[in-house]
Amino acid sequence: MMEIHKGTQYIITTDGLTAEKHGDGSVRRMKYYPERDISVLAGEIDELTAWRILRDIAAQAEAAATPVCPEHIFIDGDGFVLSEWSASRDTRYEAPEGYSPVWALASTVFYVYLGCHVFQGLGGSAQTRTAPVPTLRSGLPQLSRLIEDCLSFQPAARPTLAEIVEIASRNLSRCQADRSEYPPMKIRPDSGTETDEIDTLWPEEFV
Amino acid sequence: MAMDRHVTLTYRNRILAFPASATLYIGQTEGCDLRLPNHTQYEDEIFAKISRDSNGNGWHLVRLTQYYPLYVNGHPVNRVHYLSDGDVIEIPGNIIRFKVREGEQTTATVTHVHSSRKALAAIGAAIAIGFGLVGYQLYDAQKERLTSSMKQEIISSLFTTRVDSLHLMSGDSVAASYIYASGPVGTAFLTTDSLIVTARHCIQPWLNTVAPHDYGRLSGMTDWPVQKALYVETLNQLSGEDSLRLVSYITLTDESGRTIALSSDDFAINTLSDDIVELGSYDTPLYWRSISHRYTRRDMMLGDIAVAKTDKEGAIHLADSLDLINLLAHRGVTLTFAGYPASGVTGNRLDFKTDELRLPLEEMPEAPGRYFMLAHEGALTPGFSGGPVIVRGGLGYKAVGVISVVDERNGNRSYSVPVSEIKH
Repeated sequence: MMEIHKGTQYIITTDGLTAEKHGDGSVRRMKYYPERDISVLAGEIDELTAWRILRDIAAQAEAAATPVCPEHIFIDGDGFVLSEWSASRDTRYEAPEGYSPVWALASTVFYVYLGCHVFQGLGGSAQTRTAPVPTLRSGLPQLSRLIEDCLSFQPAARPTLAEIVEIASRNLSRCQADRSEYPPMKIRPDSGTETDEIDTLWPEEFV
Repeated sequence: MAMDRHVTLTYRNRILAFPASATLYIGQTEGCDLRLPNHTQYEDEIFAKISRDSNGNGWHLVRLTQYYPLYVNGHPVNRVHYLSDGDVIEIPGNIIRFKVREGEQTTATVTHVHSSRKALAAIGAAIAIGFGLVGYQLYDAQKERLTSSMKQEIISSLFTTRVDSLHLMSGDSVAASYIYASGPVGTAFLTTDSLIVTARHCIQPWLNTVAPHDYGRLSGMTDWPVQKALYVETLNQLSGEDSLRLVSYITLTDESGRTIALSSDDFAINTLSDDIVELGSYDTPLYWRSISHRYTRRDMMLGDIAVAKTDKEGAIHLADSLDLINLLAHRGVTLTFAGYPASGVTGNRLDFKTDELRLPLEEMPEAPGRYFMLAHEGALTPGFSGGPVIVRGGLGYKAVGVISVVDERNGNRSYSVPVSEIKH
């Protein structure tokens, strides 16, 4: 079975788990991620998922040569994987001084959480020393603070990848223990009758 | 190509057809494109959304619920599933078939299919779809489209806006002037309250010239209005006083050729939402006043509205806050746009377009009575800016928004400023 994905040919082998890339004639094997990358989740993730992305990718980014951006992060079950072979750079995730995995990871999480890019998609080129760093929701103080620190104009003011892993792991445990992200389902005040929006009639007059 | 195809969702005895570019929400809450019944004791939930892939060649489903399982063709969905024609989506108790069909679909439609014996069902369905489409469109035409007389009324209160000249003012003195050989054109409309309403960027055209991705080269731009706007804002910020301003002279022309001459000083604008963007360097700072420098899209450009009081009475009623809530109660409400889009060599010509409200009307949590931008499509082109967004209700119609901006990067999604901003 052959599948075209973003202009690159994959061949799914009979075991259904591995893919081979045929570009310049070379053959490489990589794991196949059917849910592909996280860019489709933009605007739809919760705090728990944001911490998972931070923890998983921060742990992989140091050793990987792949620039961090949403298109290079694949969904792997509950976790996330940084692509092993992507090399393209996206200026929307580049720090003022050039590529920085910490800055790129924070701007990626910002985008996937809110559904919009930092600095209007200009990346660090639009960031000045005095420009306010964008924040996430006020109801997420720990996540917002980490993202703000990671997007600092001065590289020295940003946390390291190891520190991000530690902070993300700690907050993941908090979220999972707290379960505040997924409170028990609320009972409806009244059962009401089944309504169908398709059959809703237009009002006769203005109120 | 994706634009020659559209998608349908078949649920029970209904086929819902959507444009290729639409993002569809499946859930129990009001406003969902496919609304499912809630037989549980729990609150309504949004289960999933279906969006077109970024490459435009396919569609994917994103699971939005943490409480309910989702299956496609019997396989559980973790977060994302890339859909194929004929896929069966199952949410407990609900079976939905996803289909990709040939042909363009400009608006969402729904068709009832009558169930019968298999042998007759295909024939009956074809007839029912035909009558259903005609019937629904007649229903739609009667209830949500503007009548000819309504359009004539609107036309009588519609104007092109043309900026003829700009003047750099220092107090009451003209420091410099710029004459447009052929000024930028937008639309304005006259209300029953004797207000002339348009988009702010129609009277301050430099706002439309510079997008956030131009900031890096702003200081090198030679466009006179942009140069002077940058100069005015920088000097005012550095001095702490609004000693300089740019004034535009505008001509409004209606369909019969009658004109009204106004200046931007005649218009009231709300600058509280403006962003002052700091550019340049630490030693040589530059300041740019923007109405679109926002991180989240739906509260940007609420400042893109300008209102002038006249002694003439128009025919277009403005909706108030209660009207907005009633008229824009859910997505899919038919919107009619009126304006003067550019038409090549023939100049700007009056046109009406329709689309539907793409996102529910959303009140700003921190400002009750104020709403985020209205989101729609409708293939709006330059020249529509400043025109009214009309919704029909019962025997009449009201203007609910002022056409503002088109986002070409997002499938030509366009936005309007809700008229509730006029009083803010």
